[in-house]
Amino acid sequence: MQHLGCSHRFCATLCILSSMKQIFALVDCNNFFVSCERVFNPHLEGCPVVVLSNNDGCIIARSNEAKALSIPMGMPLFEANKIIRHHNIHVYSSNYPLYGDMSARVMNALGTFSPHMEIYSIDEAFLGLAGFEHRGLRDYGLNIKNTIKQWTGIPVSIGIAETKTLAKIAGHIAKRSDKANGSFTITDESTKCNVLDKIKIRDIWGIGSRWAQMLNDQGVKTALDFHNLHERWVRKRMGITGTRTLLELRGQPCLNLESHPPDKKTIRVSRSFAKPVTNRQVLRESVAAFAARAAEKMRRNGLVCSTVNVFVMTNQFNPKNYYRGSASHSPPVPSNHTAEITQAAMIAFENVWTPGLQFKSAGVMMLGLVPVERIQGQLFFQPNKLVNERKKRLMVAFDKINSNIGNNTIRIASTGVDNRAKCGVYTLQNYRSPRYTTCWSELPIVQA
Amino acid sequence: MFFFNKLDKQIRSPLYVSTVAAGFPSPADDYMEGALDLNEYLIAHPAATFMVRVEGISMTGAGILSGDVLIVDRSVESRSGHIVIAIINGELTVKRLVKGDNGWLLKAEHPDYPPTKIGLNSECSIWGVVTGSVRRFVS
Repeated sequence: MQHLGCSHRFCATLCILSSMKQIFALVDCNNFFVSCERVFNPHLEGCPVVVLSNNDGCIIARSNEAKALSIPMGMPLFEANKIIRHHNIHVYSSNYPLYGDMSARVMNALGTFSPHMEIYSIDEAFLGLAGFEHRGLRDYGLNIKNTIKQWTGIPVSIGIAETKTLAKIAGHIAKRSDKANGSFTITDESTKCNVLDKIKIRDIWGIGSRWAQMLNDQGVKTALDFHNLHERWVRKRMGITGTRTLLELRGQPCLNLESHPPDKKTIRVSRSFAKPVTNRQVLRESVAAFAARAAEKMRRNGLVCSTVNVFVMTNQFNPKNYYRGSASHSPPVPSNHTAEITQAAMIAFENVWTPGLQFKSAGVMMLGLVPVERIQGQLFFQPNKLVNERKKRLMVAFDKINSNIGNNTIRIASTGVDNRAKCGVYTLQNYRSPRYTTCWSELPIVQA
Repeated sequence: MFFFNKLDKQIRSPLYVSTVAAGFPSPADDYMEGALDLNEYLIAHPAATFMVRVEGISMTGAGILSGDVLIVDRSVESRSGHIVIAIINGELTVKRLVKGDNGWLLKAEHPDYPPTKIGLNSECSIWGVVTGSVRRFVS
C-alpha cells in the first residue's frame, strides 16, 4: 500500500494495519435512553421526551421532538421546567438498570453480524466488516439496523467506511439524512469529498474543542479543509494524535478494533446530593460509602490503587461561593481492601472538610490503579502472606454476602447507619420508569 | 465477545449418586445428564426475549389468565394464529393475530370482547410474538 511518505514512529503499526483492506461499521443507538423508555411506552412515539441525569439534575438525553424545541443538552431541570410544561414534554429520571440491560441486548444482537466487535460505549459499537463486501455493505447495514430494531425495539444508525474516523462521519450522515435511511457508506473518493465538505471541523471524532478553535482560526472550517492540509503542518501543530486523525480521514486505518477494553485508568464514585449537605457527619459518611463502593469496583476488576483522592463541591451554579476541595491519601501498600481504602478516604476527608458550606456533591477517585498481581513489596511492608490471605478471604465473603442478599447488607461502620436517609440526601429519582427487564415486580403490563 | 449476563445459564456439575470411597458405583453414574434448565426450555433468543405480565381476562380462552407472565420473542416473524403483543392506541395488548377474509384481525379469546381490525385503526402494530407463559401456583 502507498503511504504518504511517513517516516515516524507509528509507521510500522500503520503498515501492518493497512496491508489488508479494512471495513469498519459504527453502530450508534439513536437517542438511546429515550428509545429505551419508548420500547415499553409506545405512546411516547412522536412525543417530545427527555431523560434526566442522576439526581434529576439536568437533561442528558432528548428525543428528536425535544431537540426540535431547541432544548440544549445538559440544561438544568429547574431552567427547563417552563418549556417542559408549555410543550407537555415527557420527563424521565435515568433508569440505568433498564438502559444497561437494553444495551447488553443490542450488543449481543450485534455480535451475530460480525466476529469482530468493539463495544465503545453504552450505546455505540464498532464492527469489523472486512470480508462482507460481497453482500453489499449498505444493504448489510440496513439489515443490521432492521434486525436490531425488530429484536430489541431500539433504532440505530450505521456508518460504514475504511477507517473508524470515517465510519463515525458516515454514522453522523446516517442519523441525519432521510435518504440514508439509517445506513450510510463512505467507500469511494467522490462520496467522501462530498460528505467531508459538509462536516464541520468540531464534528470530527478526535478533534477536541481547543483544536477546533485553533483550526477555525487558521481558516480550516470543514473536514474537507482539514483532509487537504499538509501532513507536516498537522504533525507540527497537532502531534501524532492529529496526524492519525488526518490519515484516517484519508482512508488509512490507524486505529484498530479494541476487542478487550483497556485496563481502567481511574475508578471514580461520586454523587450530587438531592439537597445541600452542611452536616459534617453526613458528608463524612457519604464519602466513606463512596470509598467502600470504589473498593468493591476495584476488586471486581482485579485492581488495587496506590492513592485515594477525595473531593467535595458546593453548587457550581452559584459561582460567588463556589468551593471545590480535593485531597489525597495513600494507604501503606496499594490495596483494594474496603477498610484500608475507607480509612485513607477518611484521612483525606479531614483535609477537605470546611464548616459552614453547603455541599452539593462529593466523590472519591482511585488513582494509580494496577492489577493485583503487580503489587510491589516495600522495604518495611513485606507482604505478609498469611495476613494478606485472610484479608482477601474476608473481602471475598464481604462481596458474596452483598451480591447474594443485596447491596449494603454488610458494610463498614464509618459509612453510617441511617443518618443520610434522615437528611434526604439520597438520590432523587422522581420520574423513574419501572425496571421492566431486570425486576420481576416491575414487568411491563399488557392488557388482555 | 459480549455475554448476556442475566440469562447466562449457571453451569452445574451433576451430583453423582454414589460416594467415592467404598462399595460399588451406582449404575446410574454413566447415565448422568445436565440439570434441566427453564431458560433453555423457554427462551431461544435471549437478546430478543422479554417478559411481560398480563392484566385482564380477554385471553382466558387461550389459557392466559390475569397475572400470568408471558414470554415474548421479538425475533419471531408473526403469523396468522400466533398470540401476539400488539400496540393498540399506544398500549401493549395481548391478542391472537388472525388473517380473516377481509384482512388481519386481533382477536380476544373471550365471548365478551370483540375483535379489533388492523388497518381501520391505523395506530396498531405488532410488538412481539408470545412463545410461552409462566404461572406459579405457590410462591
